[in-house]
Amino acid sequence: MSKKGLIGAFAVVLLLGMTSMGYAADESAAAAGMWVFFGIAISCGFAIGIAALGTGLAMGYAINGALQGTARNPEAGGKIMTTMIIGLALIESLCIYALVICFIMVFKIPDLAPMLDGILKAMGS
Amino acid sequence: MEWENISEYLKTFNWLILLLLSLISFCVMNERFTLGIILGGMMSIANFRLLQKNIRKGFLFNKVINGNVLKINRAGIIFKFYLRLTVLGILIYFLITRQVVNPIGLTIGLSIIVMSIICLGINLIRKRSSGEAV
Repeated sequence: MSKKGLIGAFAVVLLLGMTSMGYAADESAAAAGMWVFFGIAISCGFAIGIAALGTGLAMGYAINGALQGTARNPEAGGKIMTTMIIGLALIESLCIYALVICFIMVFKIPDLAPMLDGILKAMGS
Repeated sequence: MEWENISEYLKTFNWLILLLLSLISFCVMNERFTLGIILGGMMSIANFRLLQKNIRKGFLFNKVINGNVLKINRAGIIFKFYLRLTVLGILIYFLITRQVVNPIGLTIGLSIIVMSIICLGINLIRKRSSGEAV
């Protein structure tokens, strides 16, 4: 993905976050909560997606470099592989952190059905 | 330090860091936090071992044993790679949703491999700067 694409994705996330904050100021407490939860859900999706993208790119580069190195100098294959495995473990751990943070954030979102009922009733009355 | 011994060094150091962190957490923090460190550490160590095994198998070329060519099942290796990640994700999901462990403790536990690799790097730099053969 190009730099422009990444900046665009970040801008969308920021805009959604700001929109949720704006709505939170205007609407009732329940509706504000809804927008905050909406922001959490969207940001979690983007967070794990970007983390997986970064991890995939980094692992691809690492394996590409290791394969080229081994092909040029097969005697150094053992050393290259050990270093590559260590690097892969470091890269993969970043994605695991993102997953843990996403799980923590997603499970802050409560069951929204009763809240939606409350909002609909408030709107009806 | 011999370069070939690095994986052995890492294996030992992972367990040592896990033991140290669990002891500190046991003395200072609550049970859920300690359990998080222990389970997270064990998961990350197992994940690292499986990753190592999987990648080493994937990089092997077809072996010839007693005239027979032993072909390596590449599809199986890719399947195992994704199976490992899926199992890890499911385990983390259950640990966090059922509130079995403290998420911060779990994150620290999952960082054990990273800590161990950083320690290895510091050790290598120290040896290199003191003129020892690396």
